[in-house]
Amino acid sequence: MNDQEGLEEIRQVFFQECEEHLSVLEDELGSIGTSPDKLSKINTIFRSVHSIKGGAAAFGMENLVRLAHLFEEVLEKFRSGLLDIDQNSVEIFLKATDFLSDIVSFYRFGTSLSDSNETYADLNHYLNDGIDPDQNLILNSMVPEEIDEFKFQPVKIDIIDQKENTFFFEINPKYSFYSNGDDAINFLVFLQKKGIIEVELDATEVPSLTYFEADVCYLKWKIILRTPEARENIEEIFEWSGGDLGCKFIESPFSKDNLELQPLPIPTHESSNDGLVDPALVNRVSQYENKEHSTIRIDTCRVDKLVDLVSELVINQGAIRTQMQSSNVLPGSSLDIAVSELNQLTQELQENVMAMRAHPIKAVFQRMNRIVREAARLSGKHVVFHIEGEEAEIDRSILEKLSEPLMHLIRNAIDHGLEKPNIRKNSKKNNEGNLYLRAFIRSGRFIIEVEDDGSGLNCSKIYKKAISKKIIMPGIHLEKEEIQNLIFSPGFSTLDVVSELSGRGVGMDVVKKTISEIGGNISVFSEEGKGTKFSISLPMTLSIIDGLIFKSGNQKFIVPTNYVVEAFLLEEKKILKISENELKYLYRNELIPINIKEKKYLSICLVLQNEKKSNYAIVVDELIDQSKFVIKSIEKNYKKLSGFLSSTILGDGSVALIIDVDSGIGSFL
Amino acid sequence: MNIMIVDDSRTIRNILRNILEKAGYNVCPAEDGLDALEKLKLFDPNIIITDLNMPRMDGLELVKKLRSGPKTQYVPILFLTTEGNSEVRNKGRESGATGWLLKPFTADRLLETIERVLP
Repeated sequence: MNDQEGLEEIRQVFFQECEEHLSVLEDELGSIGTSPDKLSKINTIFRSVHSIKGGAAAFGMENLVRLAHLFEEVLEKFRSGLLDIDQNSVEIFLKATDFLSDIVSFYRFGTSLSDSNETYADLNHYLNDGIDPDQNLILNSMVPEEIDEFKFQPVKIDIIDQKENTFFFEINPKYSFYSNGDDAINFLVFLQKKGIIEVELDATEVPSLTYFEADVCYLKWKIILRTPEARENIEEIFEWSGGDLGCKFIESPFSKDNLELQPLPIPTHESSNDGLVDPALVNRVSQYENKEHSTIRIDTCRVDKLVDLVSELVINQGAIRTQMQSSNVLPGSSLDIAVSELNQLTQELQENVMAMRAHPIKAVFQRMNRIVREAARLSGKHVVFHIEGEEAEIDRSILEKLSEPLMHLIRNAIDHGLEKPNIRKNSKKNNEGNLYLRAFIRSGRFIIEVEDDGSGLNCSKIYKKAISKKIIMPGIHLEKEEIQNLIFSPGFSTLDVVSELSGRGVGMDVVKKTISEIGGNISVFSEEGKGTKFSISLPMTLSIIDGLIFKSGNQKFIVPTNYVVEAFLLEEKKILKISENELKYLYRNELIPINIKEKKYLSICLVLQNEKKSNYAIVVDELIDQSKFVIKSIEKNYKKLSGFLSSTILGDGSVALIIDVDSGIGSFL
Repeated sequence: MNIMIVDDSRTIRNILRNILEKAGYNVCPAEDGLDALEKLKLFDPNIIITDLNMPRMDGLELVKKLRSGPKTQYVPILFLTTEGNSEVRNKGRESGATGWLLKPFTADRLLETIERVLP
């Protein structure tokens, strides 16, 4: 790696950090209004802005430094209590955050910068000695090529002083301390929350068993506490237990070296010399650390490679098992046991590797805050945005593709779904429209919902539109749900007027396409006048599928378990001849398509249900197993096959195809 | 985790109960010392929080009683006091309480203090 690449890498890490800080800003600003401890939020915000400024200065990103600096100065006014946080200031801060984010993108991707005058003016408003207005002009006219022309002016960065105090003290709890229901370990655990502590147990007072008395307190602890708290606060903790704790500060500090190097004084108790107390036990130093998750950044390529390798391992495992069966290895033999242990380890390894790719959906949801703000501003609607379940985790590769469709759905919901305040008032709704973004996991699928309490979908309008756009034939009867789902058809649009926000309404089909590309479904539920809910159902991961494997002829196929409704023996009398070469199966009083042409077949029948809730009967020769399969793309290795999602490699090395129930089931009938 | 709260003020009882139940504790309120002793025949607390000044049986007496009974001998007991002076605190500790909590308190402070004796 040469220097250039190294620098680029550091730059990228800085951008990632910026993103994290920006999301902290959004988070804190979002909740500051209702928070009882505004000051601590302001402090957190300040630290994030400060960090961005520090990094930006190191890379000479003048633009970023300038805004961050101004932002920081304004925050300082709030931090020192000169100004109070109100709704207006939160909004200005959010705007500043958005603009910071824009500047970061500008440096990172070379995207263009929008007009910043307003943001600067708003911020400057808080400072009596506003900065030179000329600076704004420079900022606005800036284009990427001009970066080099800026003179690098070192910006004074003051490091936030995180003062840490170190206290040395000893506790020697008395009998009453314990008899009052307290315990030394409780005290130590509590202390650990205040900072980092090092504890040394002093058991020199413990006598030999002959002289040992069960209810006498022999133990003392020496403690080093490193904490940002002031001495008064620490003293208060000691005072809480009164004199029973037997606490005293040691003014002459005993250093850590002393702890390790200096042997403890030889027990003075004469009976201790008989060696009943093991010095090794006495001299134990335990350390309590603050529990913090430590993280490392790993290139996603490496994780992907690992996932691939583990998948291969799983396939290999299957191969070994098949081999063992054909070479008559007895169940319970040592080889069999060893292999099943290996199996278990592989499975754990696989689960853990998959977990590495999992990422909270928060990363995407947070971005939507801004989309909502912008959309609300442009459309002049009042929107209360509720985010639920942002901690839910999903495979990173899916996460990355969710941003666009969600943005679209949210813009649509605000633009088309929610009504203007005056209209809402007429329909006896709150002035403010509610928009919900939810994530949760239901029966192994990752569900995301975008719901608004707006006007809902107008079925008759959609129906007419669909006819005029030649999406459906006139006169056809459709259920309400079917009509609503027409909005996902290509080229469909409900708004005749192009709106600035969500365009012509093209894109619902694109949303659907993007979602199905990552193995998901989208559906819409709406009640006119009450609201609309889009529900996206996604697989938890893209590389493993839970499926049912069956045999048809001498070929094996897999169908994803979530599509299987039922499996049973085919009853001949329920097969009905509809026309010359078309059979249907009577399933729960419903005639469903079946994939056989002649009636004499007698075998196992699988009932599958696609996303449109239509059932299909598939006749198979043999059901083999239900298990997890590693997905191997057919497109990458062969070419796209209609009717199949992808393929997998079975234990015996053969390839099995995975059936695409949603869009491909027709090709089997 | 079970917590018994003993206070003659309904407001204080409700506030405590609200905070503690939200934090996931199982709460049994009692109106005074006698009521507490009665309810303790059924309820098995992991910690008891009691006011000092109450009718019928006050906090100090309750603590002494609790410390002499086998069931509650070592159960942590916190007493609520509005007085910051150490005299009251010492009295409480002498009677056998584990620690104290100053009124008025915040939810955080309350939970922190409970965690101090119930890690």
